[in-house]
This record gives sequence, structure tokens and C-alpha cells, in this order.
Amino acid sequence: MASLLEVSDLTVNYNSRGSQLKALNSVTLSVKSEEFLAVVGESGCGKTTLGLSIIGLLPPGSAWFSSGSIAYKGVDLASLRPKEMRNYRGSEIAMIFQEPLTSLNPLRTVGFQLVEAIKLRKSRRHKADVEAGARSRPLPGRPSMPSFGRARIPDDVAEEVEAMLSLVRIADAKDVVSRYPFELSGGMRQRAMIAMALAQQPALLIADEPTTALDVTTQAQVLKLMKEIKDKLGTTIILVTHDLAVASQVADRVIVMYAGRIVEDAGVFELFSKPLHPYTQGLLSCIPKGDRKGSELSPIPGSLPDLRFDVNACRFQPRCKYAMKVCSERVPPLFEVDEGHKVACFLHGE
Amino acid sequence: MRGTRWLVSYMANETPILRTVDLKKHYQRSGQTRFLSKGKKVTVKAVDGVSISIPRGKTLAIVGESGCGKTTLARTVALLTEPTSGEIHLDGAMIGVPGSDRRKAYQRMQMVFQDPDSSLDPRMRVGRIIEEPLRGLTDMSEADVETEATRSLVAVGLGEDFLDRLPRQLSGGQKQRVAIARAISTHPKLLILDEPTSALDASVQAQILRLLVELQDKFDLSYMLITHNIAVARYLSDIVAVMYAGNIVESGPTKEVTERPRHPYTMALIASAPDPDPWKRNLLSTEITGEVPSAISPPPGCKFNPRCPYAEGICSEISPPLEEVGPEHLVACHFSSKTVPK
Repeated sequence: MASLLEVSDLTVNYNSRGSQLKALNSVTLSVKSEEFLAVVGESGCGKTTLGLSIIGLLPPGSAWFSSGSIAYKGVDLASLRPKEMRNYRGSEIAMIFQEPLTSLNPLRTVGFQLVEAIKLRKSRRHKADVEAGARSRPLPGRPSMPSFGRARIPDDVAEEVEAMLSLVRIADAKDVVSRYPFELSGGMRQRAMIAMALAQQPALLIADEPTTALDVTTQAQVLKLMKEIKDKLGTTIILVTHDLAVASQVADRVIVMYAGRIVEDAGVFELFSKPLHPYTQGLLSCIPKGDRKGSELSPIPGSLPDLRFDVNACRFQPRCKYAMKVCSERVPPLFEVDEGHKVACFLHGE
Repeated sequence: MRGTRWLVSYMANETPILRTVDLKKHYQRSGQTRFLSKGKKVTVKAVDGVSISIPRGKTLAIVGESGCGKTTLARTVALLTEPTSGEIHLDGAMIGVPGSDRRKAYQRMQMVFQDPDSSLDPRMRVGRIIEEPLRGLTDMSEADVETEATRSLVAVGLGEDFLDRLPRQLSGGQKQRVAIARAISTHPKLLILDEPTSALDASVQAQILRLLVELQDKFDLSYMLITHNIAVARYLSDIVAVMYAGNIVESGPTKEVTERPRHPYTMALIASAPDPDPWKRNLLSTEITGEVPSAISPPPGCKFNPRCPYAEGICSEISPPLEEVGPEHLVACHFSSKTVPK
């Protein structure tokens, strides 16, 4: 499979209360087409920043790329102007967020927002067709003010809305389209969000903690749905999560991040059978399994580092039980220990 | 065998540290408002007749999803809100009724909340935060208050040098440790832990869980643990009660309930909890559909019936009572005979 996305040596700086910090620090990764990749880490590890960087939604003014590139189908997204980036956002790369209530428009019905997405795609395709010199088709109606129940939207759009909603397993589509986001349950809202993201037929879907605000039984349904979509539509998915267990259930490959850097990158079976980085091992032994008699938890001592102080050392070294002299002298690069298994630890290279 | 040990002490008829009898908490709320007209008053049955019992030195986990009433139950037991009806017995004495000693009840029972950012006063130094319950609930001298506060702080693994810090100078895990130190400062017998680790990162969650186990052994504490996380309940608790839409649908020794669940909802809940195991992708084979019903108009009969794969006619008519299906194992299901594990 060809690689869809190549992030190389990406560094993102943030301005935080007068001081600068590196939210991402020379991150290099590649995502293959039709892959289900999970990016796992604790708060502040840069996993969300990575997602926002790819889709070009970093807060303007307070965050910027200080080095590196994000090559999507050969185009460097990091160097695009905001206007050019719009051709990719939504139509090529879509994103869903943790709390659907804050990313849906509270004043518009779900149907309106879905129609908006579909019409936007159609007008974009139309524009692309015209530019490519294809026979000009009439533009679909203005992408503003479509409404349900008043027959102001073309039939093909209405059909597509229903198809989208049934794809995300919303059974009573007719009822749901006329509702406002606040009238839906958390699981329904997240499904509607996924439907909106998919309405533009993106090649890459970035899901930032899509199930963290949901209950476990709903989480299971939404994750199952994402897996189905990947298999059915061939959408490449990057799932950003803090939960290794969730990653193990759905992902093909897992990237573990710590303090702005990738510490381990491996296939899911490889990672869970042979975790190499002490941080990955620590995270795995932090998950309670069974009762306290059966399995003693071994928490990672200490707490997450303060990113405002840049250090030329392994960030995990103060919490690491295997720390050596070299760990506090240099930053460990990503060593490829096995085919497709990379780890940033001096225990496994040099 | 923890389950058996618990049974023995239970059968020895020792007074449980906490017992509730048919506890209810209903909220009155105005319904959906239409233009220029007020909606009808509706009753939200957040906790609808819950009887639980926590043996001394043990942990009862209340497990359920959002909106099931588990936090309301905790707040009602902690007397942070008045029960609509029912009884709460703490250490053999009824509390929350006129004439009962509220100050003493608060001293014996303390609560730890989910988010330490909102449960710690941002303007108070750690020392004062921990001293506060001692000043309010005990008659200790000022000198004793200070030694007690330091003792609590050391017990949760923080040094004396933390006394003068402000909450914002602490990490998430340290804040939760301070919240726990405040809760144990009055030497309570029962700690009510409302999602104590849900706001924390994985590596810190494990530290707090370890600390809670340590404190329980050291001070002979009993815990009422409120959690949505089956793995946390399994790790920390001796007995578990599963709540759904205001009722307990299954309860029993933790090992028994988590390994051989009998209520279809408990089964779904356990099946939906992701295991860190890519070879066993239980999540993708989960069959549960739908979501937790609204507490304003729950479905008639068994509240789980619209989502239940075993549901039959009777389920939408009669609400099933809790019945014993094994030693101390109670299940509220008409068809619990069908759910016997093979």
C-alpha cells in the first residue's frame, strides 16, 4: 500500500503565558492508505496537536510550525497558504472531535448541517470539473438555507442524507434530521458528526478522542462503526486516544507519544506482545487487570514533564527505571529494531 | 477468596458500616417549555429505591453509565442532598433525620470528588485545605489540627513541604492526593469516592489506585466507590452493584459478578469495556444497541427492556425484583435463568 501521509521532522511551537514550548518535537511518521492508525499518549504529549497540524487547524498566532513538513499525497500541507489549505480541509482530510456538542452548530438542525456538507462537496466537485475542462453541469442550489420538510433540497441530496445516516447506524433518519444537536444523546451526536465528516468523502479521517465523552456501551458502538467505515469505504483513519485498550481493539498500528515526541511506533500485535519502550511498558502495566491480589499495579513514578524547559535528553529518563548515563546527555532517535517497529530508547540502539 | 471472607464477616452479623433501605432521590423539574407557556412539572427519579450495605473494611463499587444515578446516590448518602425517602444507617445509627448528629456523621464519612480542580479552593494553601474539616468537624486544639494535617499529608505520599503550596502549583495527581488527605484528616470510617481517578492520566490513575488500597489497609477504611470503569471496580472492590436508570440491577461479590454476570445489562457493560488485548477484540463483537433511557420518562417495566436481547412481553409490563441467584448474588431480571453462563 502506498503511503498517504508523510510527516517528517515536524516541530510545532506554542506560545504559552509568555513562554514558548514545543508541543511537537521532530515528529516523523507515515500513514499508509487505508490504514487504521492510533496515536496514544497522556495529556500534553502532543497527540491532539499532531491531528490539528495535519488538518491545519492550529490556533493562529499562538502556534506555528517551526520546522518539518506534512506531505499529503505529495503536497506539503505545512507550507500551504490558509486559502489553499481549504481545498484539503473537509474534502480530503476531515476531523471529528471529542465533544460533538461544541463542534456542531447549536442553532441549526442536524439535517441542515449534513446538507451543507454534501452541497459543499458537490460545488467543489463541480468547480474542479470546470477547471479540468469537463462539460459544465448546472451548479447545485446555494449551499445556504436548505431545510427539511419544506422540499427545498434536491432529491439526490435528501437521498444521500438518509444514506449517510443509515451508514452511521442512525435508524430513524427522518426524525433525526429535523432535530437540533442538543436534542440528541451523546452517541447520536457523535454519529451525526461522523456522518458529516464522511459526507465530504475524505480520504483521511482524523478522530480526536471521539469516544472519551461517551459511555462504555456507546463507545463500543461508535468504535465498531469507525472500523466498519474503514473496511467499507477504505477511509484512512487516525485515531487519537489516551486509552491503550481502545487502540488495541481497533487499530492496525499504534504510535505512542510522550512529551511531544514519538517514543514507539509498531504494528498493534507487535506492540502489545513486545512493547520495547519503558514508557509503553509502564502504560501497559498501569491498566488494572483483574483484582488487586491477582495483578499488582506498577504505576510509573513521578509526573509528566514541564514542556516549557527544553532539554537535550530523553524526556522519560527522570521516570525511567532503566535510565543510563547517555539518556540524560542526548535525545534518543527512533531506532528501527524490527521491520516496522521503531522505538526511541538507547536500550534498543547504539 | 475475598468473596468468601466477606461472606463470613457478613454472616457473623456485624453491623455494616453503611446500610441504606429503599433510598430514593427524586427531583422536581419543569418540563420542556413551549413558547410563552410553562411545561408541566416532571419528576426525575435519579435514585429510585436503592438498598445497599457495605461491610466494615470493605469496598462497594457502584458501577454504571452516566445518568444512571450513581453520583446522586453518593451525594445522597453523603448528606449533600436530602433523600426523598428511605433510610441511611451509618455505623448502626440512622443519619439524615431530625435529631441525628450531622457533625458526627460528616466526621465519620468523607467524600473525594472526581475533579480536584473544582473540589479544591484555588486560593487556599494545601495546609488550610486539609485543616478545614478538622476545624469544622472536631474540637481539636490548634496545635493538634496542624499535626493531624501534616500526618494526613504524609499518609498520602506528599511531604510537609507541600503545606504552603497552592493547588495550581500541583500536578493533577498531587491535587487528588491533597483531596484524599483532606478526606482522611478527620479519621473517617467511610470514604465515598466519586470517580476518584477518572480525571487523571493513566500513569497517575494507577498511583492513586495503589494509594487507596494502601490507605484502606492502614486506616481500616471502608469505601463506597462510584465508577463507570469496570476495570477500576474490579481492582478496588470486594462487592459490586450495577446501576441502571436509578435502580440496582445486579449486585454481589465482585469476582462473581464480573466473571459470571447474570443481568443482560451487566453482560453488555462488561463486554463493552475494552481489554488491552488486540487478539481478543471483544469491542467489535459487542451487540448492544441504544443508549441509557431518560430519567424523566423511563420505559415501563424493566427499564432495560428496549435494549435487551432477552426481552419478552412481561419485561415491558412488570419491573423485575432483585432475586438471589447465587450466594449474595442478586439479579433483577425475569429471565436470569436464561443467562446462566455455560
